[in-house]
Order: sequence, then structure tokens, then C-alpha cells
Amino acid sequence: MKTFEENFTAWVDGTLNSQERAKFEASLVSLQEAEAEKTAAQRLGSLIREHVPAPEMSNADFFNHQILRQIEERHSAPEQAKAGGIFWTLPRMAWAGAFCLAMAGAIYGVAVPKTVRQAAAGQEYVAKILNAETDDPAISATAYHDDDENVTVLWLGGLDYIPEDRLLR
Amino acid sequence: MRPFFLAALILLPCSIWATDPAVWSAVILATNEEKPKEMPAELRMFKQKLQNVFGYNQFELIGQHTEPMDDPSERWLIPSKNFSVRVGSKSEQKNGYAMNLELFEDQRMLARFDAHLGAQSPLFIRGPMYAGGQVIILMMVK
Repeated sequence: MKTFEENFTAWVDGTLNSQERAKFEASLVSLQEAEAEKTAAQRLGSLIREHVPAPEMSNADFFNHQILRQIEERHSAPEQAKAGGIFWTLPRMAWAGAFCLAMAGAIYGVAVPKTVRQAAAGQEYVAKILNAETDDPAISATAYHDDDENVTVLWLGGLDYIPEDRLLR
Repeated sequence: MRPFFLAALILLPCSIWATDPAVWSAVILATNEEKPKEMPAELRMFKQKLQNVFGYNQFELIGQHTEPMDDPSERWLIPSKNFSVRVGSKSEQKNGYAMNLELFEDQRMLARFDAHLGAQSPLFIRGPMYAGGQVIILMMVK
């Protein structure tokens, strides 16, 4: 729905079709006063066009260049942001984290000598046999610590074989 | 979501601290087979150690037992019906337990020994031979 001002401007400019013009003119309180305003407006327009020329830009090329550059930047900025944002997706970050952990483990495994790790582990967690004895002189008890395997073994010798017909449970 | 995460972070060390350590013991039959069976899940972490120390390629779990160390009085570790370990006395050490232990085969005491059992460091006891294989008793603080 056009406002009165829009219809009036279109009527002055002569862009209304016959139906619109008739409807608009019928809505006017005074057609004569409106015709006088129309004539005055048209005269003012022609005077302005004749006596007030449009100012010429001293550096039109530079102005156009700047405008075009800004338009191009605005169009390309969302694409750049989109391209940058897509790379670090959640799965990629998870994979990157896993990769970093694996690298840290590999570096630890390669860089830290095995003996140092075993020594450190042994100091904290080693099992020990302080002494071992048996009541049966036929049985011997020997304890030792296997440094390579980080395990303590109590070796009982001279034990009787368990008969095969006996069910071990 | 964040409060739950923080609560979990705070409570996790408390729950670990509150859990009593336990001694896990197991009786294993080690044999050499042309087609060895797959290692039981409970023994997989010891596979290389057992193979290297005893030289067998198949290890069957005859029995196992986990005893919480929550009582200062005498305790029995009974990993199988035939083999048992009496814990005569124990004292808590920095990284494990000092224990006076007696190993029994049925009613017969095979050996008594003072041992310090550390967390994650197993104690292997070479037992008697059976059916072309070797009985091994394994103990560890968990």
C-alpha cells in the first residue's frame, strides 16, 4: 500500500497509470491546488537541472577502486573464515591430541634409557624376599630378583612331583 | 556438565585413597605345548615375564584369590584348593607390605619366608612339577 507521499511523487512524475491516476485525483481535496503544486515542483526540478550541475569527482577512479576493493573484501572474508574454521574440527583435534600423546610416548621410549626406567620403577614397586626357609631338609628355597623382568622369584627345589592321576585344583 | 566433571575430579582421588589394598594370588600350571592355548586374561600382563623366567609357552590358571588387607590379624590366601598361603604378620610399608608368609601344599608346609610385596611387582614362586609341567604361585599387591 503506497503512502500519499509516494502516490503524490508518482503523480507529479507522471508514472501512475490511468486507473491509479484517477483514483489518486479522486482522493485529493482540491485537484486545482494539487495541479498548482505539481506545476511548481516540475518547474523547480527543471530549474535545478539547468542551473545546478552535479559536482564532478576529482579522483573518480580512486574512489571506484576503493569501493570495489571493499566489496571484494566483504565477499571474500566469510569464505576465508569458513576455510580457516573447517580445518580444526572436533575429530581432527581429537586425532591431533592422540598423535601428540603417541609422540610423547615414543619420545619417552626412545630418549629415556631402559635401565633408568627400570631403576625408577624398581625403587618404587619391587617385591623382595628377605629370607626363606623350609622345615624339610630335602626342600631348598632360593630367592632372586630378575632385574630385566622386574620380578622376584622364590625358587623351591626338591619338591615331590604331584602324581598325574591327582586332580590339581 | 561442568559441576559433574569437577566433582568427579575431586572424588576420584578420594575413592582411590579410600580403597584398601589387596593381595592377589594365583596358581598357574605351566607346560610346553605344540599349540599353546591362549593366555587367560588375568595372566596376560605377566606373559613375557613368565615365559622368560620359567621357559614354558602355555600357562593355565588353576585358581586365583584376592584378599583385602583390611584386617591386621592372620589372613589366608587361598588361590586353589591344593595350595594356600598363610599371612602370619604384616606391616604396611611405603610402597607395599612386609609379610611373614607360609606356603602350604594341602596340609604340608613347603616354605616360610619374609617378603616385601610391592604394588605392580609380582612375586613368582616355583612350585612342584605336575603332569610334565610346572606349578607356579603368583602373588602381587593390587
